[in-house]
Amino acid sequence: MNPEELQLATRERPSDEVALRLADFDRLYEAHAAFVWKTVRGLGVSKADADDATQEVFLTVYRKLGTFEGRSSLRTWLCGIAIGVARNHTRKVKRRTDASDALPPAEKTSTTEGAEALDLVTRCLDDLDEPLRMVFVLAELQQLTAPEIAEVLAVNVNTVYSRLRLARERFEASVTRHGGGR
Amino acid sequence: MSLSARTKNLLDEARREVEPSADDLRRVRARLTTSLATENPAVAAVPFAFLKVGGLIAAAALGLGAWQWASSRRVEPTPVAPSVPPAVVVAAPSCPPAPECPAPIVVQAPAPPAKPLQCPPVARTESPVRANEESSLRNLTYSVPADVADRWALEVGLLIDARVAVDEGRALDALGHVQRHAKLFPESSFREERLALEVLATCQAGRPELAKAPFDRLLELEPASTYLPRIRGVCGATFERGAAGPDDE
Repeated sequence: MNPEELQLATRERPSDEVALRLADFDRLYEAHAAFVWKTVRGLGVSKADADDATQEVFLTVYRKLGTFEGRSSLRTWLCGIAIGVARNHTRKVKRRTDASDALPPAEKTSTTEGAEALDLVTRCLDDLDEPLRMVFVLAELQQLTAPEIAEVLAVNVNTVYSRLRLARERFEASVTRHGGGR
Repeated sequence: MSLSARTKNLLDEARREVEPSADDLRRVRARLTTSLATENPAVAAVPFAFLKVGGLIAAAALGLGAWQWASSRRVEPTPVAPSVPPAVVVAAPSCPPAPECPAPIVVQAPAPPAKPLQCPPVARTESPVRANEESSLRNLTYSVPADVADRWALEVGLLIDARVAVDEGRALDALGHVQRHAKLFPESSFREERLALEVLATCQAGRPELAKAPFDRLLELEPASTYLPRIRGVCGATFERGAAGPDDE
């Protein structure tokens, strides 16, 4: 049954199909909501925007649940969606920031050690080009394996390893530059 | 190369910092519930823990407009045990051929303190046309509220209003809601829903030729949209993916 037929069938038997789909969705949310949240946060979405971004990821997942073919793992599939959503969010934020360039930079609001660490990590990540940043975040913050990262980013595993090596070098240099030697 | 101990510690702290709290995840779940009820009204009818938990918060997030709307449509309420909150109709069904439409969809909502608890409406057979009454239920605005919850309630509420208007045959009301939604939330996650409602309302208004443009945008956005059967039912067979549109006949 192709996706369209499946959708039509859902229309004919709404309660059963929807209940099954929701049961899947509920389990999926339980199991992966924290992972998705961390992914979007790690990719630069602020805490204030993380609700919106996580919700957007799961809405997309709900809409596309019927088309998930299991060719990738659920986690890498979710990760791919989260990357797309996080990109949109950070782009929007950048546009907002560019539009208010005349304003002084926001004051640093970090109050806890963890928040300060994240603040420093974010600044160091900003120094990396997107392909390197992406690999670094997925490997070091999300702790995905190299094959998983390769699947998410649709590149081969060797590319992941070479990007990760370069990203680590540059990240280390950034930490030193930004004074992270606590 | 491997990372230095200092950087590893830094990353450990950052990882802990991006962990969501249980409250964070509950909040997102509640919002999702609202969205899913809008996306697929049948969702709201499913007796499912996910929706029951989130539905309470979600229905509250929809605000007074949804409550007022639902209150005006209660059908012969029957007193029930106090543990059962009243149900609020949040969206009318959208389904293909009209005669097969199921009963209105209900989700659980918190009881307003001053009102007695009542059973959900189980059926609504009349098809009321109350354009002015419906329009006055929500104090519509052209500015987006600053508060995230209010913004979300408005974003979802406008589409619910539009859907109800379509289901009740008030095409012009529906188009008004859709236009406000497009103006306020041009990049909404519910563009598919909005376009489908625009197509349906335009056809209902007797102008299928004007529905072609939003229909094409809908196909472009979501070629396998679940709204296609209903659009075909309302607008006719020319509104089929790959079929010659009304302009091409």
